[in-house]
Amino acid sequence: MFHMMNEERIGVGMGAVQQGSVGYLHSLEYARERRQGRHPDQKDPNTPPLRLIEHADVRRMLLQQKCYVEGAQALGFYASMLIDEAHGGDDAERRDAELLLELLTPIIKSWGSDYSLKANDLAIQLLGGYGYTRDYPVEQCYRDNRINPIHEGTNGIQALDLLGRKAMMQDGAELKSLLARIGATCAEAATVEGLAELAVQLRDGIKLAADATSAVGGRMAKGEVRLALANAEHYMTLLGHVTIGWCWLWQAVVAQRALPQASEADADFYRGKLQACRFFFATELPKIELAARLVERAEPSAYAMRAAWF
Amino acid sequence: MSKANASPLIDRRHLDFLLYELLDVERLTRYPRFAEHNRETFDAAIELAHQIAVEKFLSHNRKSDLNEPQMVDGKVVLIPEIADALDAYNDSGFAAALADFEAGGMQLPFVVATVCDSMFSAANPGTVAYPALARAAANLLEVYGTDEQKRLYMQPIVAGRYYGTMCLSEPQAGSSLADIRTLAEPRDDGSYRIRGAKMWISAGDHELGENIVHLVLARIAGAPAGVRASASSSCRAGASTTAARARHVTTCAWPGSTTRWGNAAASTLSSSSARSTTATVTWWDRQTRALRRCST
Repeated sequence: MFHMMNEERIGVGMGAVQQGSVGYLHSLEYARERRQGRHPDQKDPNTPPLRLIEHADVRRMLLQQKCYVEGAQALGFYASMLIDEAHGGDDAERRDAELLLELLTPIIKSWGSDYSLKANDLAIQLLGGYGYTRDYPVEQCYRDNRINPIHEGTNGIQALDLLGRKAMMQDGAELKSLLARIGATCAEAATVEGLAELAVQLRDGIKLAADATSAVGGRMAKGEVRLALANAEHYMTLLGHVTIGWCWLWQAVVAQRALPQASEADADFYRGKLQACRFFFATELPKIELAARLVERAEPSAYAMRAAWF
Repeated sequence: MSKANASPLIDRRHLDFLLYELLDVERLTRYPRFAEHNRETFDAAIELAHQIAVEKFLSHNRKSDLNEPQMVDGKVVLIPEIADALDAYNDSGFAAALADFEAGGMQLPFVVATVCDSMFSAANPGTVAYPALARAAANLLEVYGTDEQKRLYMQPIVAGRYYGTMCLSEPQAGSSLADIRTLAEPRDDGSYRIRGAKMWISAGDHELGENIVHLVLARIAGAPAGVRASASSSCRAGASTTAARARHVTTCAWPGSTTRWGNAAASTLSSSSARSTTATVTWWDRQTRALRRCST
C-alpha cells in the first residue's frame, strides 16, 4: 500500500530540509544574542555593538534560510498529504493527487536538498569563525546534508527526469495540473490586501514555465533531445522556484486573512510570513527569468563544449 | 527581542500553521481509515516523536559524528547510543506509524508520519537511516513479496526485529544503473544464484537487529542490456511494473546478515558524512543456499 517511490524521495527531500531547519534555528538564536559591529553610519566606537540580527545583511541571510526551509516544508507536507488523498480519496481525488505527485516529488528531492544545503551554508557564514568549527553544530548540518543532492538519484538525474519525462508525460497533463493549482492560488491572492502584485508576478512565472516546457517539447519532437535536455538543471530552478513561490503566496494568503484577529504574538508570526513571501518574490523568484531563457533558447555553450577544450 | 521556540528541530508555530491553518490536515479524518484520529491524536504522535528525537537522537548526534562505525574482528561496532535510540523508536511504535491498528500500528496519515520522521531526521540523520531504510525494504516486500516472503522478511522488520537495505549501486554503476553487473542465475528450484558486488549500501552491515534483509538489484542471466530488460524478468519477490523504482529493478530478498547467516562474504566500511554504516557487500556462490531459502 505504501510502496510508491514517491514516498522515499519525499523522505530524502524532507530529511535534507530538516537539516536546513536545524541550521536555520541555530543561526537565528545566535543572531539574537551575539553582538558584533555597528550600523554603517554609526562611527562612535563607544556605542555598544549591535546584536547580529540588527544588521540588514544578517537578516538577509536569515530570510533566505527561512524562505528555503519553510517553503520546502510547506511543499513536502503538502505532497505527503496528497499521498493520503491518493490512497483514501475517490477516483477523481486519486487521479489529481497522482498527477501532482509525479511532478512534485523530484522537485522536493532536488530543490529541497539543493536549497537546504544553501541554507546550511548561510548558517555557517552567519556564525563566522565559530560556524566553521566543531564547537557549533552548523558545520555538521552541512556535512550531513551534503549527501542528499547525491543519493536516491542525483539531482542531475532528477532534473533530467523532471524535464525529459515528467513534464512531457501524458501530453503535459501533470504540468497543466500543477500550473492550474498555482493559478488558483494566484486568483485567490489577487483579491487579498497587499498580495495582488505578487499574484501577477507568479502568474508570469506560470507562463514562463509553460512556454519553456513547450519549447523543449518541440525540440525533442524534432530529434534534438540532447540539446533540449542540456539545460535540465535550469529547468529545475524554473519549476522549483515557481512551485516554492506558490507555497509562499499560499502561506501569505492564509497569514493575511488571519492577521486582523490575531493576538500580538501571532500577529508577529503572520507578519513574518508575509515579509518572507515578499522577500522571496523580490530576491529569488526573478531568477526564473534567466532560467526560463536558458531552457527556452536551449543555451548551447555547455552542450557544445569539447573535452579537448578544457 | 528574543522569542522562545522550544524546539531546536523545527519552528513549532510554523509547523502548526502548516498543518492546521494551511493544509487543514484534520480533513483527512473524513476518510474511514483515519476516522478515529483528530488533532489531539496527531499532536500527541508529533509531540512524542519530538521528545524522543531530542532526548535519544539529538543527544548523540555529535558523538556519532566523532565516532564513525568501525569494523572490528569482522563485525561492525557502533556507539551504544544508536541502539538505545532505536529501541526507543521501536518501543514507541514509530516503526509501525503507518500500519493498521489491528497490526499494532498507529494508522497515522502519511503526512503526520512524515512530520514525525522529520523530527528524527532533524535530530540525527545518521541514526534515522537504519529504520528509514528498513521501512523502505518492508514497503517493497509488502507490494511485491509472496505471502511467505512477507512472513519471513517483512513482518520482522515492521516489528523492529530486522533491518533492511536497498542494494542498487555498484563500484562501476552509481547513477548508471543500466550498467549493473550483479547477475542472478535462475536455478531449477525457482531460486536464483546471485554473484556481484554492491557499494555505498547505507546500513549495509551492523549488529542492531537479529538480521538484515537486503533487497538486491540484479540482472537476470541472459537478459538483454539496460534497466528495462531486467524489469521484464522477475524473481519470486521481483518487480512488476507500477512503482517508480520497481519498474527498473528486479529484487530478491533473503537473509543476509554477516554474522547470523554467514551469507554476505565480505563487508568493508567507507566513512560516510551521513554516518550510518556505508558498506561494500560482495556475494559469492555460497549465497545459493540463502537464495533457495528466499524463494521457498
